Amino acid sequence: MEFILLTSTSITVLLVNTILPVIMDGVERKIKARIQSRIGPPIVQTLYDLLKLLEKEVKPLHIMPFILLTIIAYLSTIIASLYFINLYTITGEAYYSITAITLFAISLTSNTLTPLLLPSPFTYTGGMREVILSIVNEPAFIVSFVLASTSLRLLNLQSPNIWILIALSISLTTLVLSSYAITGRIPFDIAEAEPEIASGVLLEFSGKILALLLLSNLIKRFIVKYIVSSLILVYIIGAGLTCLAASILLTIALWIIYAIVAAILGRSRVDLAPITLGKVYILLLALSITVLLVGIYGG
Amino acid sequence: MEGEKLILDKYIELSRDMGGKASIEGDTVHIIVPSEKLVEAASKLFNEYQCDFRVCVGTDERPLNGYFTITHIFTDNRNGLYVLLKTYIEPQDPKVPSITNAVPGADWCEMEARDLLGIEFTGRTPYRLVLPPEWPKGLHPLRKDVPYNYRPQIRGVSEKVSTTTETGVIPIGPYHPALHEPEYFELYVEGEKVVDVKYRGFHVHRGIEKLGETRMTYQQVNFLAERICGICGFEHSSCYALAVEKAAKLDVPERAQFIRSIVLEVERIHSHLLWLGVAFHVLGYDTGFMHVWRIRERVMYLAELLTGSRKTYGINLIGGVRRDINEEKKQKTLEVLRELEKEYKGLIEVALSVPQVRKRASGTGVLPREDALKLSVEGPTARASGIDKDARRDLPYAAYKYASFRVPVYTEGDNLARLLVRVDELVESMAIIEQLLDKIPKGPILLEKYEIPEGRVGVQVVEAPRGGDVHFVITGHGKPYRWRVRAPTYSNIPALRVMLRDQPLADAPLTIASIDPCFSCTDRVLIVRENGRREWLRLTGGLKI
Amino acid sequence: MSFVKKIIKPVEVLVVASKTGRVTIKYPFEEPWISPEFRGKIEIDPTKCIGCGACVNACPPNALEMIESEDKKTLRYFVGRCIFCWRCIDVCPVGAIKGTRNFELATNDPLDLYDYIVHNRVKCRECGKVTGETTRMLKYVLEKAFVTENYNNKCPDCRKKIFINAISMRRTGPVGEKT
Repeated sequence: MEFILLTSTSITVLLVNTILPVIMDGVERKIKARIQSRIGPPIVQTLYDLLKLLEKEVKPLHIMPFILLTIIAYLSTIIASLYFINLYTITGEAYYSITAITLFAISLTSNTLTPLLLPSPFTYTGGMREVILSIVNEPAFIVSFVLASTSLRLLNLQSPNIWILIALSISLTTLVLSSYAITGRIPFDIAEAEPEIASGVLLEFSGKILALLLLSNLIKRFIVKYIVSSLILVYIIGAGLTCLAASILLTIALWIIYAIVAAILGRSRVDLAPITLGKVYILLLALSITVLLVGIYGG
Repeated sequence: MEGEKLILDKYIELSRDMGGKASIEGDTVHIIVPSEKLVEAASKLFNEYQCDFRVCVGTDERPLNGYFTITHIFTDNRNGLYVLLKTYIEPQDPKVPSITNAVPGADWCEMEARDLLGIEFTGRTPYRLVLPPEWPKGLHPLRKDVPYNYRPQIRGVSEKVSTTTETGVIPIGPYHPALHEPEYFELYVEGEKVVDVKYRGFHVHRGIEKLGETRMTYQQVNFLAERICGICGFEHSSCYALAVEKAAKLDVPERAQFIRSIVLEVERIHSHLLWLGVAFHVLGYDTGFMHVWRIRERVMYLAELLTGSRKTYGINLIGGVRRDINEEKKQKTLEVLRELEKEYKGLIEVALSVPQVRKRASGTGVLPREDALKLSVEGPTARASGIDKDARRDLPYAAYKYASFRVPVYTEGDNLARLLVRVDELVESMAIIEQLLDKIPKGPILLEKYEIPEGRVGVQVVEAPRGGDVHFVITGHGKPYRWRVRAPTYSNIPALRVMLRDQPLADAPLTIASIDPCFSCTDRVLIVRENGRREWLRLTGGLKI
Repeated sequence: MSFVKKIIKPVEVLVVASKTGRVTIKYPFEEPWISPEFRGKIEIDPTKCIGCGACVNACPPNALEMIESEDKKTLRYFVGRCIFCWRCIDVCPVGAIKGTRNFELATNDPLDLYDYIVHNRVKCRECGKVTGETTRMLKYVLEKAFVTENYNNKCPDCRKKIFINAISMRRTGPVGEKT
């Protein structure tokens, strides 16, 4: 009985979760417009864009079945991952969060590989950039996630320990940073870089396929923040429906902050971004592991 | 004055040594040498006298004296002199030695003369530059016996993109988000590194020179000249008007010259702001782009207030200008400038503090001083590579001699230097407008009666935002006999060969944008890089440096 | 401290933005920002135009054209070619052309882009042949310059004939009547 209730709630929330990113993208565009002193498009503009794309014809690609396959894999894994995060926020069971992040990692990989299947030089260059960036980003995201949840768990079990608190804050910083980079916002939108490689990875897609891909990318942006907020909130206010609602609200807040950050920066370069990021990640992660170990054994 | 005399003697002596003759008219030294001495004379002017090569002009003077002619335009920037090196070419089988080995910057203009006038240049590899590949042989549009509305029956053929197995080809253009005009760059990349570049231009060759020489009158050409460029059109129309006025020795009212200078600076401000916006956009800093264009709107309004139009001001005529600046407009201009200066300084400080802007602009697209000198590049591209030249100061025209200003020069030669040159120039331009508005004399703004005698030569350089515009006019009956236009991008594109070489692909759009290219004004064909190792990439013969 | 300031500097753009507010407008619903000096479409007053063709000669892009037919002269203004330089206004001898600030010229109907002003051509009072001028232009010239009754409204051929006749009359009597 409880399982059925859980599942139905989770699915309802899932629907909200797939619509929300589209609306939030509209909000992001509006925020950007305000920062640029423009009126900007209406908040539902992204929805209009997607609906319009659904009506357009698809430019055939000779490897269409593969492309479809990878995009569907991307979309389904990302939605499945969303479903498991919802379960996690409601129940607080750790294995749900682990499943969610695993599925998310798989979806990112399939997304990264799609453009490499295409013969266009722009798409290929964009795809290679995406690969380079994700090589740096994804491990950092997952490792910092594990570190942050470990320190949170430790905080719950033990009495407050200053070392573990420091470790937590460092790993959370890394988590937020890598989650920002994974969303592919400026300065890390080098795979799409419109003035350089004419929208790179998205260039060859059209019509419904492009709509699917864009939707998946928006959900990806949502999910990255959602994972971070649910991780924090489950430990602060405990699992449950309140936590679910609070996580979604925190995700929206994070989205707005990310949007503002993206508006005040410029695009980085493919050789600069991964190296800089990589250095920062290694430093932060090493630091947080050391501090965590000190917290466990030294304290 | 004695110094000046010595300098003029130097040129007269040169012409005597070369077995030619020299004459001086105003600030222009005309040197006529026999064609076999052309290379030697050009080399001496360029290398020894340190003259700045601007462009060469081929002319069909057969109806006048039975010869083709080629005129190499040099300027002696330190002494404010124009030096025209001219030679006559036999009309049957016109052949003249090429000066490209001595003056590499002459590459394009020689090929243009070959295409449009059928003059062959010996001692270099010829290639087709301006005309499309299927254009009939032996038909040279700028010859006087070809009517301006003649259209040969040609069938368009598509040019094949050369592809290789070893390197990836990234086509940029003819339509591409980073380019706003139809141009085509083929970047050969290994991974993310550009190893070679091919450039194909001239998609929008409009035959403006022919049109100005045939269908239009002196006054109408002003409006045509203004439409050469969509951003710095007023420079072109001023340059044309000044060239004709110089040829006809007209005494243009001072007030008109002041108004010209003021409007020229207004145009420089809006052009540089536009460029800054584009540069920020290319760097992904769209917020900077939007805000720069927001403050640019004030300048556009100012231009509209002063001239009646946001762009293509249409106030230049031979003999003066059409719109006066009254007290009310003067106050309004000063007010706009004050607000602009305040906002601009704050904004540019913020924009330059964005880490990506600085990091990506510095050290990329470097043009060393030696290459810049060799290729005779113009404007901010030259000034960023340590060449201190600015026609406003070196060859003063209009009312610039009444203003004092600094010419910003940077020596790094990278994209950041080119950006900073423009940032600094903007402030100078605002100061120039304020000074000129303060000193503007009373009087008429247009010469009512004047006469333009036939067969006179006038050449003028006007410092446009992108570099020096050159207009060369031979007066004719009711319209120019020959009108040659050279936009600054014409000189700057060959330098891209140096700037793009071995650079990351991601920087290519910024580097291309950094010369502030104005393709429609320019339009040529060229291989940007010649390299024995990559011989297979050659489509047309280029020039080796 | 200065290091932090340097890092924080890009955020200042938020201050700039909030100070500025929004500057774009919902264009067709709000007035665009146009200066009083703006040069827009021209309007030709058909009651004043005399069809002299001065504007046609001055017009750089050939937006104004004179189309001549057997007994009519039509001044055609094609806004699609117009560059809004207002040279025609400068040169019009009767001030028939007026500049407006109108720039919203898009239309569904290409015919909206053309303005026509039709003038009648003068017929020679003597032989009935059509001469080059329009009737209004003739009137305008007659007002400005003194021309003998004898000569106006006549084609150049007839005028020449009358002139020769008059001279020969004065000297030797009518042509061909000399005996």
